[in-house]
Amino acid sequence: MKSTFTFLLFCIVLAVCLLFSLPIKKYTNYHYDERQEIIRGKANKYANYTLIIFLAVYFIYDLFFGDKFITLSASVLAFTGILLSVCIFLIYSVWNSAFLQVNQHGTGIFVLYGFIALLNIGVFILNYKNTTFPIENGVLQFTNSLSQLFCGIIFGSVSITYFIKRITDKMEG
Amino acid sequence: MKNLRLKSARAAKDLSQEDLAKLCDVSRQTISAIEKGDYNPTIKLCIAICKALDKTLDDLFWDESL
Repeated sequence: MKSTFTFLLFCIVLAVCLLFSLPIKKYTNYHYDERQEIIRGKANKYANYTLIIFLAVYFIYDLFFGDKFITLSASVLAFTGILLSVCIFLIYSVWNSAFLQVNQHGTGIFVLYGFIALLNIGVFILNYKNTTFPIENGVLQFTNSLSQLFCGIIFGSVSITYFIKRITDKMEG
Repeated sequence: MKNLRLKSARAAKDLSQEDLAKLCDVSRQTISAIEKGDYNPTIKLCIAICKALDKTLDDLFWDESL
């Protein structure tokens, strides 16, 4: 019952987000220029490679050490793969100024991302003592605190990359 | 290779990278990358830059040494 309610809530939130994002796209003239599109294509490629390499490395680990050490459940494996590839995509895009669209000012957005990262990591740290990463039969299971940590890492890495990039740009003049 | 001709043509028009970027409908970083020689623009963008600076393609992008 609870999971059905959560799923319904997720669908409603997704529908509302789509409903509001489509008109915004229509009425703003934000777009990526040709260099940004090339950079984002490269970022996509590197993100795909990252996912493939991660899965290959994990496959070899599981093959040789799976019965000796801890392995990941399917959901943790998927979530970690997504985290790694999304991080690579975002960091590469932000570092090459291809994350924000033309005429879009980003400091506010990245401050917000930093705040979201701090909130997520803060909640994770606050709950750290109560947090247990359930390992059943040597398999690490997915938990809420793990998702908070991962979200914190994604938003934090994007925000930090942006501000480091700004500082290096200013130093270069 | 740096495109110093583009940089000087822009400066002669008293335009900043931001101004030229707005005239060409691209990001400031793209203009910066072209001036630094880090990005080779398409012919479409070259023409847009030439129109914005009242220059020809030869003036800004033709390189005799190549």
